[in-house]
Amino acid sequence: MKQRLVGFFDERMDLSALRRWAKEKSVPQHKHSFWYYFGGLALFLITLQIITGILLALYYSPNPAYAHESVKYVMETVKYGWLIRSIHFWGANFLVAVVFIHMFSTYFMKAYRKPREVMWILGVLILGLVLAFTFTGYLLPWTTLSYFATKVGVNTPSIMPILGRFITRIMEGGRDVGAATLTRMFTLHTVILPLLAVLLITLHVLLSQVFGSSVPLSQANKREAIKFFPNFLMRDAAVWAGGLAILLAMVTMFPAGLGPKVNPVMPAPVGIKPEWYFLFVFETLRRFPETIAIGTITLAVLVWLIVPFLDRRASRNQKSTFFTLFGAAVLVYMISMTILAYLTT
Amino acid sequence: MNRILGGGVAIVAAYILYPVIRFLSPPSVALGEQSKVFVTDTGIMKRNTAKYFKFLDEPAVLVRLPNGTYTSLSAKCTHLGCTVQFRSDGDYFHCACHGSEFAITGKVMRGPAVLPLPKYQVSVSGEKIFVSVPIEPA
Ligand code: HEM
Ligand code: FES
Repeated sequence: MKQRLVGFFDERMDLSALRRWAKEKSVPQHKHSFWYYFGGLALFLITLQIITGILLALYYSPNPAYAHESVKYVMETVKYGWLIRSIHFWGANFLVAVVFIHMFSTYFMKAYRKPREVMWILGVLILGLVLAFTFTGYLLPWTTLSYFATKVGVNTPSIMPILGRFITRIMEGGRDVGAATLTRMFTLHTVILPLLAVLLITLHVLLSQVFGSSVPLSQANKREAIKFFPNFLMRDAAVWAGGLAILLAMVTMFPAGLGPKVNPVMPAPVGIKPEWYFLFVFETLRRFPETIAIGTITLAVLVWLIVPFLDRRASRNQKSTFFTLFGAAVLVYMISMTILAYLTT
Repeated sequence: MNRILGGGVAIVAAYILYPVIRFLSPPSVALGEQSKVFVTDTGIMKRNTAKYFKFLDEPAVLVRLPNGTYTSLSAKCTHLGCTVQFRSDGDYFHCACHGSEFAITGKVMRGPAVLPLPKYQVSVSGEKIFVSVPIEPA
């Protein structure tokens, strides 16, 4: 039966290339191989977000009069609604963490060097998309916290000269965050961003198949490798199972909460803070004048994006200590600002 | 030839993009109808308290000062748009988002905000208190 099925497709679309790929693909083994698992884990978590997101969209209503109520309904009345929403909520947090780890690990292994420059750029853009997903999704439950977080978020670009106000208006859809903003964030979250994400992730993963895993310079003399199929895939699957287990543990121990509904004329509550992954931006905004804060962050992101082209030594397969230090400085800055934000207020 | 073709493509792209961009930016509201709103009746608010309301689609606040008079300002923080809180312990506004503080006149007392809160005009007619945009922006 299986034979006949395979034969059927083989005759029609020639599976030999696929077979050759499965047979030949291998993953290098060395002392930093551990980090290779994070890319696969990110892929797994995104899939989980898409599935749970589609389920949530069946009940969700993007209207200020019903948004909070519809999420409450999912949490309290719909069977396993709390489970689906909590997976989506915790999955978002896990995904952000995993994508950050994936990015910094490939950075420090200089995996962006020739010929993988485009993979790096796609990767940074995907991180941007993931953060955009969390930002747009955050408003949807229409809680006081999500309302003010969105206000600060949509007003931040307005600091930028010329185009800034225009971007803010387009995101708000009105004079202030309100009904129009909610439909815009919903459309972004459930239509525009998923389409872009599928496109960019497909390209990123395709390229990773074309080039295979990069080996860090320090390990270049190691020749060990394991077959991707089935050996590495099995290990990948084990990591996914492990990730899912931790995720489900968090979900059952700490199901997603639902704060009070927005009252658009009430002041922002004292002690308001963004999610952990935006804390370093928040702390920067609090400590420095906003033009300097946003200007510097924008510049750093641009440099980060084109780092493969700036780090010429790495692309000639030479050590580039300067860029290692630059990456370390960025990481230390982000972590210390995050800790500062936790300690103060 | 290629240049002509390229130019043609650019024109078609502009034809498509222009209406899309216009569609994306929301139509501006005519301020005429709503530039004056009723907030509350006199004698309801205690001294040294604030009442929040919506004005021009944005949060605004009416404060009854310790001397009994009224003043009204936009409550939208000029930093990044959170709604500021009236502090009755010292007659000022505090923004919980990044800690800006504004005097009762709207003047910035503490950053990161740089611009003052816009002030509105309060008018009492009979027993009703109205708030409007000043003719000469303050
Ligand atoms: C990378 C992928 C995604 C991430 C990181 C993400 C993240 C988030 C976050 C942080 C929330 C707010 C959760 C809360 O506090 O309640 C949210 C809500 C929501 N998301 Fe997503 N999301 C993703 C993909 C999707 C997709 C593909 C869909 C649907 C097509 C979707 C549909 C929804 C809906 C309907 C809500 C509102 C319901 C609720 O808040 O529980 N999401 N998302
Ligand atoms: S929004 Fe008020 S201080 Fe930043």
